[in-house]
Amino acid sequence: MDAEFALQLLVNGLTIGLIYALVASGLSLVFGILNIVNFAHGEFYMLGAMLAYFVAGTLGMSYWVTVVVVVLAAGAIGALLYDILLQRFEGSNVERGVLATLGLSMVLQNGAIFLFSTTPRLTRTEYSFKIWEFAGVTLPLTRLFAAVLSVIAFALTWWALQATQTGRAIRGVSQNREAALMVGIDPKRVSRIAVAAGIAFAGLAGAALAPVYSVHPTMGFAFVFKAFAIVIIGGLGNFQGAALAALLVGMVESFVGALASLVIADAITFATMLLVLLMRPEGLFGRGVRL
Amino acid sequence: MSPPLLSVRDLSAGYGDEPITYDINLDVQSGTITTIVGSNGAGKSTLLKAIYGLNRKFSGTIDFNGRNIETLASVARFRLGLAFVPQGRCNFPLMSVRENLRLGGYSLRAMEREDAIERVTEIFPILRQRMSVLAGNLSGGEQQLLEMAMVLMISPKLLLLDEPSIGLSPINLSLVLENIQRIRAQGVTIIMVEQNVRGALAISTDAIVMDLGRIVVTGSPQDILQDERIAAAYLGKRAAR
Repeated sequence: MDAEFALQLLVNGLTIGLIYALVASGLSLVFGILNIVNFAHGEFYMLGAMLAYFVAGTLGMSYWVTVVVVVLAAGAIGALLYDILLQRFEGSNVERGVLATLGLSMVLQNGAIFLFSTTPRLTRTEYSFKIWEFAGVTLPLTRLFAAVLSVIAFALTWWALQATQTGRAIRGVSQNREAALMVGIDPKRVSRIAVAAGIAFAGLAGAALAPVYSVHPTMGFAFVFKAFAIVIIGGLGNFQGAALAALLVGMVESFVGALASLVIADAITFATMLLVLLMRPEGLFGRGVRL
Repeated sequence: MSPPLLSVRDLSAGYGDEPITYDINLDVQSGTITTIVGSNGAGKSTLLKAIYGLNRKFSGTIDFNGRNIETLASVARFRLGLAFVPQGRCNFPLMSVRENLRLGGYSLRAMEREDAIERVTEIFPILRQRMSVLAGNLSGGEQQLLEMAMVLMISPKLLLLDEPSIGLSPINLSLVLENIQRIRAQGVTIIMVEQNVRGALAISTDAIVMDLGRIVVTGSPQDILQDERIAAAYLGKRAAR
């Protein structure tokens, strides 16, 4: 393997890892604050991609306007999701939350199949088929923008969690709900913001990847299982751990996929998840840096 | 006499379908420390939670600082100056002491918040030396002080303390009781539930004895401790001695 090829694989791994980080961090954010594993998370990624297809492809809006519209819509849907469904399962058995979000996943997926059929669609934007080339490495602009958007979203969220009162309140509610009530934080308001941000992440990933992959109603299903593996490897509820694990999985996928097979890359990811569950159930990055 | 800061009338409260406290009538004057004592299951913690709005009210009224509050959510009661420190560890263990204090002042503006941190660390100087330490790594006594400091960030008028000495060593117990007096000296009225009857009554101005969900005796701490029948009947052998 020459250096140029290795660099290409590194860039590809980084790009896909950053997108995984976006979806997995959103999943982790929702789990961290509600203790609910959101099995419908992949469907919000799918809805983000569907909406991007509609806004960019059908309405002919620009790439950047599409991204903004999808993120705002996904955030609003996240807030509604919390108010209508998730808040009813806060603090209840894990199984009830799992069943409820699995049910929601089926409703959203089959609803999308009914409305749009299973035909894959390609989202065209002004950046489609344009390539960025540097030091022998080529990258479609849409992939590059997806990676850059992930970094920006992640950095902004990280900053907000550390440096703003709302961010601290989100971390506070995830660590001790009773203490949050003690200091006058409204856990419902804070949870609503966290769920809206988590779903906005999924929507952003969908919008960013709509011009990269084909858009279809079942696209979220496989994606979310990979996100689950990432979240478990990084540590359930651990926002930063999820991001680091996502980068790791992206690299494995890129290198093993190119040198052996994508099937083996997936097997390695899920085998790692199993090993983590057996040997270090709190995740590779543990609770020490939890939300 | 000025009107009471807190006035509870015919309050019955509990969880689910059953009240645990019945027909509670209580007046608390500003600047006092009232200790509620009684055996396990007497309804002491339930009463504090009812005043803060954390459980179900079946009947009765609660007036705080001249305002009727029994229909308000606990967050709204907090904003009116009513604070509650629950039993057990109640902080954000993976955040530093400074971050915990900042969350204590969640409803304050940034400048006010930093001023309030200065103010509460003057009351609890021990916390000033621990500002960068994770709350979960503090000793039990320090964590209890941190929790009191967190709610003092908003300068509450009334502080409800549920078993502040639970799980503490004798040294930490003295530290906490001493600091409760310092909080009172700042003009904060305190209602405290405490199993360490002698220690708590020694720093209190008023005492209430509860049994089976009702207030059975009210009076001065000295009168209650000196009445051997009350001490033996409701406070256990250790308090009676």
